[in-house]
Amino acid sequence: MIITAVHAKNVLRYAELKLTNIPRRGLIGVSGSNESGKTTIAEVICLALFGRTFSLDEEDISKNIKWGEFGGSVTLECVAKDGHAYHITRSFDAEGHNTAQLRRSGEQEPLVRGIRAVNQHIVQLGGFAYQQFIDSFYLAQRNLATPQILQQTAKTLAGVETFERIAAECEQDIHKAQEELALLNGHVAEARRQRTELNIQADVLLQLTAERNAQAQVVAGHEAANEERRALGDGVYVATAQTAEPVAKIDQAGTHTSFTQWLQHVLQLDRAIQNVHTASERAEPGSTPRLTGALQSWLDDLRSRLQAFHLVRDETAAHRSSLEWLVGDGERPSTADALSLRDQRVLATSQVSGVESTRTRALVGFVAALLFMAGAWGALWFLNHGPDHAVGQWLMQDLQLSPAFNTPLFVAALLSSGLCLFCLVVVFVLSGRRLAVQQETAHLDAEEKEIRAKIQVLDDLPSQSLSAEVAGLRRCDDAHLSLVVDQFANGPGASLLQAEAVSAFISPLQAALKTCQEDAQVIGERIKTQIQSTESTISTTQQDLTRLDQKIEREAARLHKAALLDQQVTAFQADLKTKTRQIEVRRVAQKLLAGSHGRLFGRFNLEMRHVVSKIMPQLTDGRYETMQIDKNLDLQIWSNEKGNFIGLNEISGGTYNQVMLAVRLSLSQALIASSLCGAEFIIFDEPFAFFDAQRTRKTLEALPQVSTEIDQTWIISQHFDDVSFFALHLQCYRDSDVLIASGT
Amino acid sequence: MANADDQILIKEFRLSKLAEEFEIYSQAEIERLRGDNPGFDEQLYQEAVALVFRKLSQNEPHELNESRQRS
Repeated sequence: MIITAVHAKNVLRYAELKLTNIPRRGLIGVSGSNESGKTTIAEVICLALFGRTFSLDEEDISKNIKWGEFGGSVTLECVAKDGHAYHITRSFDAEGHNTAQLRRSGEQEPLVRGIRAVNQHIVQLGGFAYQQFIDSFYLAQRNLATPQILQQTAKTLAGVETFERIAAECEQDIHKAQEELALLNGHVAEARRQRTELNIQADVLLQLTAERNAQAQVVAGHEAANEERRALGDGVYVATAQTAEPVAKIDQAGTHTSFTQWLQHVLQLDRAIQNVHTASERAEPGSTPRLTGALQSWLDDLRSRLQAFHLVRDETAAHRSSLEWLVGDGERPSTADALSLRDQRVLATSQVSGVESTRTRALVGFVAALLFMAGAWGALWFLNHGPDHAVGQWLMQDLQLSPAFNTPLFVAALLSSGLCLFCLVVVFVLSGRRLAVQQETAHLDAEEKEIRAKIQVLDDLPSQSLSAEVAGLRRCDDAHLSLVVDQFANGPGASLLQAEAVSAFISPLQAALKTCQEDAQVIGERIKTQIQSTESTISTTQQDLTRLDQKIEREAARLHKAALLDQQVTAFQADLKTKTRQIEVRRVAQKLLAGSHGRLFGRFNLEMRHVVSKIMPQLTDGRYETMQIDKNLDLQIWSNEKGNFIGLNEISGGTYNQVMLAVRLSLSQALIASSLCGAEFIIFDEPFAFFDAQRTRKTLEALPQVSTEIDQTWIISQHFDDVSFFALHLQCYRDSDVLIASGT
Repeated sequence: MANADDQILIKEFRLSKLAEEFEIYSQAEIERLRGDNPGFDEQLYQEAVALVFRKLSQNEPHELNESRQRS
């Protein structure tokens, strides 16, 4: 950074300080007597750049206001390392109102505003902060006399400070990790204490769970048994209730009930009894005889009576078969001793056919005999009585007949007449026969129709009531069937054919049903008692189960807590291991950093010696050539006279200042190198306090040649013998609070 | 007659590259310890070196590092 203008109002001792067109290269001399404001110029530059001076920090900026004034301001124009020109302006008043802005030259709008933003931006523009400025670019007399500042700067530039800072960070990390370790150890101890307190016994949960499962199985078994009992009781109740339905139907039976309906009643009641039997045997084995005995007896009685009617049905079927055979629809019964109607009809039909055929032939014979008879008789007549007739002529000429043939013709005529008569008789006889057969066929048809009507009656009978069927069968013209029907009607069927008898027969059934239902109710009560007893057992066992569940829950919670504690301990131990490792790593890092110090110092020392050896001979007139910084950061210089390194306390004050000037120039160069500052200004405040005129001149000659980067060198001194070295010389006066100057 | 550049006393100041100097020293130290101590925990040292590098990159301003590398 190169300063090109400074303008301050009411700052420190100046009412106005205005320096313009400051040369960018060369020496700028500032001279004046004590308290004439020489150092104030450096203070103003520092104030403009960093918002503070060497003696007053940012908090006390208002103390820089000229005595008796309310506020002050300072503007500094400079060229930064980026090559651009900037204006830095700060103003402040006695009430603590501070402003700052940074503006690029030629632009109206500030680049940044505000104290903090401007300070940060200036560090970027210049490449150094306040402390680096003080360490390297502002060399005051007091700093020359204080090698500790130089040592600190050397430490920073050598990188040792960075290493020490990292080592200190490692120490902080270690301290923090140790605190965390202590905390973690406490956590581990507490977790282990809690874990021990839990007193977890192995297999307790397993035993409790096994016991619980066994009890649950017992409960499940009891519940299943009760469920089965309920189902069995319900089964008996339902089966018994279902028995009432067929009984009720039977109760409605009477003379109007058909045989088929009786059979259905039997079937339904039998099925109901079987259901009761099955259900009662399952619910209470051996209870069936008492439960369904009366019903079964009555049913067996009814079944045997109906069974007897099957014999009637069989006879009826046989009778029907014989009738069917008669009309030609069935097979011939073994007892049949005549032709069936169908056979008789076929026979009659065949007879009619034979008669008709014979009659036709007789009729043809009659016609033929008649024609022959007429011919014979005619020929006789024409031969004997009309030989002149054309027919007579035809007979004699064409047939060569003559009256000599009268006898044969007569015989032939007589025979043919007899044959004709015979045929006529046969035709008449056969016609009578045909009529007789036709009448017989008609009779057979009528008889067949009657038999078919009987068969239809027989077919209709099963759909009628049993009494109607019996009455209908009695009307059949079958002696054997009538006998069988009578035996049934007077025997087992007597109770089913008359109204009073039927009522008497059915009446015991209701009593039997009631007995059945009462017994079923007794069975149900017994089952209910068993269920209640089992439920009591279940209730007791379930209480045990609840207690076991609570124990299991508590044990599981304890185990869960123990597992969590174990996890915590494991996690804590892993953290302990990690933290311990972190401490170890940082200890090793500190060790390595400490070991690296020597190497850093060695390298920095070497470079410093190299750079200082360029400057120092120029400033010390060749008496001292180089220097070194030992491990304690103490400075030693090489004395050509003594041929050895000597301490600073062994040299004169003027030489000390020369040496320190050379060292500080080297450090400034190092800082420039470290921060890529580019062209820089440097301020030497009273560097020649102990210099004689020759040393001062030598130094002024040497300074412009020190570095390519240190272009602008401000030198503050009480007096310069020769101002020809300076590109700009500023003269300060104690009795003036205004300094206005301009370079060319 | 020498020109202006020839008269300049300080051409450059070569600052150490901290990371490089540290790496050289630490690797030499690790090598030495590896040879001296069969049970040497090299991983521990390598972790320490990596830690220092991390902290160096956090502590050293970017420009400063860059500058050191260029000088």
